Amino acid sequence: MSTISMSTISLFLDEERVASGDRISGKLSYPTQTPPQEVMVELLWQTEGRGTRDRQVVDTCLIDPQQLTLGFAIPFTVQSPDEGPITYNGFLFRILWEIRATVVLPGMVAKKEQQTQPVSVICRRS
Amino acid sequence: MLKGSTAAAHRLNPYLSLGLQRNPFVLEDSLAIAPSLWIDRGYSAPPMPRAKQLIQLIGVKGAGKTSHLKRWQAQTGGTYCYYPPGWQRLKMPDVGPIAYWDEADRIPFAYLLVGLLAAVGDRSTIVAGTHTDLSRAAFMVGLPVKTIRIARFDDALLQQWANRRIEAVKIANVACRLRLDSKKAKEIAADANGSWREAADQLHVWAARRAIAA
Repeated sequence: MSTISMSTISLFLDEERVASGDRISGKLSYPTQTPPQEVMVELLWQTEGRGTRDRQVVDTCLIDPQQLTLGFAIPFTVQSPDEGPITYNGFLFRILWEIRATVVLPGMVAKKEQQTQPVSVICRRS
Repeated sequence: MLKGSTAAAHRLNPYLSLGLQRNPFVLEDSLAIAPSLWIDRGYSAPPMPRAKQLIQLIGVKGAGKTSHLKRWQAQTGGTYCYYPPGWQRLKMPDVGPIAYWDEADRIPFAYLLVGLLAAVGDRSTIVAGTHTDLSRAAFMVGLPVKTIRIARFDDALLQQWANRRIEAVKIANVACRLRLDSKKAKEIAADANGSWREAADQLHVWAARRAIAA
């Protein structure tokens, strides 16, 4: 069982607009003195509109929880896929990309904190 | 003129320009409707379980039958059974104190009779969402029938429904620049032909056009 609470995670992206196939990098910080159980940053896309929702996590970066206790912002990198899809804002649906950071706190009930940051994935120019 | 970071945020999410978090007419994962968005049309109170009756909600495609079934089921409990087109409709409907059969007109007649007979024996309340009248089958097994015909909505109801949805996704302390006026509501209500789904599709496009143009 897990619960998701209001987040104190700070998430900074080096670029908010990348081409498909690019790496997306940034930094994550989370004020804590006890190391969390798990820390990860995911790159995912999802649809939103009048159709059935679709979503997919395309890359995950696991971060050593011990690093967060040092009080520094921890760098991360995830890889966007060459084949897209690209960010799309249409009349009937949208394709949204986002970076999602999750910190799982230690304890019997795995309490989670999450923070998301939208990112725009554009078509790569050949 | 928008500042750089605000302009970037608006490029990522054009609905911010209208003072909204997102398109108000997005199709949710669940067809259940949040209580604050529900519009009472005179038959919102859920039925009693173990009433030994068939309650059939008859309406055109997209009239809101499933939403109604889901709303009642959330209050009464009981099983919900959806009948898809094709061979997957070849399944016996559940009974119990109360059971919900959606797209019940797809249940093969023999299965429907057996299911209704089981409901009589169990003193079940069966709530069916259907396009066609099932009362003939119910009378054959001696199950009393209550019929609710879901009336077509008019432009005033559509306007109320749409503006409530817009209100639900507006950003706090930011001016909202989207409002469905009666002229547009009339036009969409006429085109939708009684289907909330069709109306919501058109409203989604209308809101998206406004957001992208803003």
